[in-house]
Amino acid sequence: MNMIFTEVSESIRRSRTASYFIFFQIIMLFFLVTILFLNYASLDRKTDQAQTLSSLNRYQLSDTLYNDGELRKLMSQPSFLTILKRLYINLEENLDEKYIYAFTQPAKLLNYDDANKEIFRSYYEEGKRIKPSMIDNIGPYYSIKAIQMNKQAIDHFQITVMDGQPFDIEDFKNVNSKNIPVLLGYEYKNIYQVGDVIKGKYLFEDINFHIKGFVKENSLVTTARRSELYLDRYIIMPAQHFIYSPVDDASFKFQQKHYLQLINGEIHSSNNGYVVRNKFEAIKKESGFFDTQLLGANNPSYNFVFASINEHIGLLTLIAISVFIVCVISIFILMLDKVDKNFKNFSVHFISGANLNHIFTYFLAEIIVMVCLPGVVAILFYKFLVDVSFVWYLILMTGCMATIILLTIIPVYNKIRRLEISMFLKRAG
Amino acid sequence: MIKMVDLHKSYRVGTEEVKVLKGIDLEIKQGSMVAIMGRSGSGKSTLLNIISGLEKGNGRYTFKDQNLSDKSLNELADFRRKHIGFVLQNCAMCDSKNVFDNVALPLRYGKYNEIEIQNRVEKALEAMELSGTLHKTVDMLSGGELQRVAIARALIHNPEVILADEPTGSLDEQTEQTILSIFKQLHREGKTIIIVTHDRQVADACEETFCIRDGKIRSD
Ligand SMILES: Nc1ncnc2c1ncn2[C@@H]1O[C@H](COP(=O)(O)OP(=O)(O)OP(=O)(O)O)[C@@H](O)[C@H]1O
Ligand SMILES: [Mg+2]
Repeated sequence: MNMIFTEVSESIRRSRTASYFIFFQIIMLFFLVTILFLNYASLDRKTDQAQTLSSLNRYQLSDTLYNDGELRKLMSQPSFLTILKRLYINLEENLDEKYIYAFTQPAKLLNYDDANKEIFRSYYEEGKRIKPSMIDNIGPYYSIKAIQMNKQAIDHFQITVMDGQPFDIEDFKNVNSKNIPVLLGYEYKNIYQVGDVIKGKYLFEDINFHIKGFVKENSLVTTARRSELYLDRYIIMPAQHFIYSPVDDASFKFQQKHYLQLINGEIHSSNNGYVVRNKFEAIKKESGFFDTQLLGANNPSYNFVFASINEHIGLLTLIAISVFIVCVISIFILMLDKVDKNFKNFSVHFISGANLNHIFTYFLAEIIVMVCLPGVVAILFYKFLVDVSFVWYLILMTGCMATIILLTIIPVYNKIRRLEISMFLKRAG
Repeated sequence: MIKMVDLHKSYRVGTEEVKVLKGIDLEIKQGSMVAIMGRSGSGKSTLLNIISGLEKGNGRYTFKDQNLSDKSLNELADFRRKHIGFVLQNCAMCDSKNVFDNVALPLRYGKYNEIEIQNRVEKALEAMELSGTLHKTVDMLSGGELQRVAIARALIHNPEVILADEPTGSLDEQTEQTILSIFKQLHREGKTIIIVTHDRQVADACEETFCIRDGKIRSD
């Protein structure tokens, strides 16, 4: 074993340049393979639903009312709610780009004290539990995962209803009703039925949630902070647009808060940042609301890289295959060349008691080192940086390495097997 | 100790069969020192290779009553590891190893631990008056030094038989004498020594000389 190690390291040092060149090639190959893998792996997982999404640029809207005093002052003005509503309507209707609002906010529901319903509670996946609480001596209310989405978001993410009815336009308008239609995630399927009504609170208002339907399994959305979210354990609420004026101060405050959320959605556009920014500025002016900005309009690079990878996936595959072939050929040439050049070495080994199997083992070990060293590095990097479908990645990489090793060792084996020991012993020196 | 009866060896070159050894009959006694002579291309190195088990011929070859004729090349490698020390023509070395590792190589193919290897190599190099070269690379050595390193390597695993293919071929008179005296010393210590040579003087120092002519042995 020690011997093999020594021989391999000596051999690599003897042909340093060629070996580094091959290392470099192989690292490049594994890099390409990783990108391709990631691409296919994520396509596989998200189906074509997410594919259409990734090709658009995304711009996050963010209000700039960080200052509490400023915000309170604004909220005390009666016109502020009107301005907020106008901005929201303009974003929805007059922006001429997709305005996507998908915002997670727990709902408080009654009668959730059931082991089957554990998974729907807020932070279930994180292992945290929010204690059920009493409100006005009624309860306990449970905090349950819920997401609000506007109509465009539901269309954009292609949320499909399997059982029951999808939202219609009226569902997004609230005419002072305590009844809100909701869709439920797939895992709710055996727990409720279409037509059931769940009692609860939303933003401290008493609400009856009317179950309209169930969405398809593995429905995926990306929320404001670009995190992916599967809806299977969520209650999906239509983002409410209040048609009526608030009747009292409490509901005035409530509506203000609600709209301050609604205006922090995202714009998805195939246009570049400047075009979107211009449109957005026009909407701000028209609505008379200036305390909001567009994030991401100046640096679409990250998305851009992935979008362009997606676009050139065919080309990338082609490059990967070429690099693979070049890799195999150069290892093969280097090794056969080494067989030719190392006659003297072999003869010294032979008189010292080696046989052909030893020599072959050294070559095999050298090829394995040359292929697996970069491979292991790639796998470790992947594990720490990406870690998506790791087992499949491992299988793919192992297959890749095994193929290269096999393809290169066979001709070397053939050549070594046919070596005439005597031939080089007699011209040694 | 070494006995060959009607041993043949031929090579296929293209479609042609070249007969090199055409019935070698040879007996070398344990502890003797013999020379093998013959013109260039007569098959001296080939014979030496067969003796060491690097190649196989057709015919009977026994070593200490052990029949080696029907052993495989891998089995012959084991045999070589135990019994044979070989000084190659032009005393070939592994260029990427230093003197120490070159000499240690036969031990590394055997079952020796590193401490044992260290001790043996140092002793062997000392015996060859090469202690100063331990960590030098082989390309820094003179011809005579190289030759002695090659001999040290051939002796390191304490074999009974030393084979040397033209050990004095490219050396000056004085160095040749030194090398020859080393072989004589080894002979006195009881080793069996077989030297292939062109040099009459070297042959005269041996007890017996075999000459290969037309693929057969002619005893002088
Ligand atoms: N592996 C081989 N394949 C083909 N021919 C070979 C092979 N080995 C040796 N020969 C041929 O066999 C003959 C004997 O070769 P060998 O090396 O044994 O001669 P030699 O007596 O050692 O010569 P020299 O004194 O030049 O070293 C030569 O003609 C050589 O070309
Ligand atoms: Mg020769």
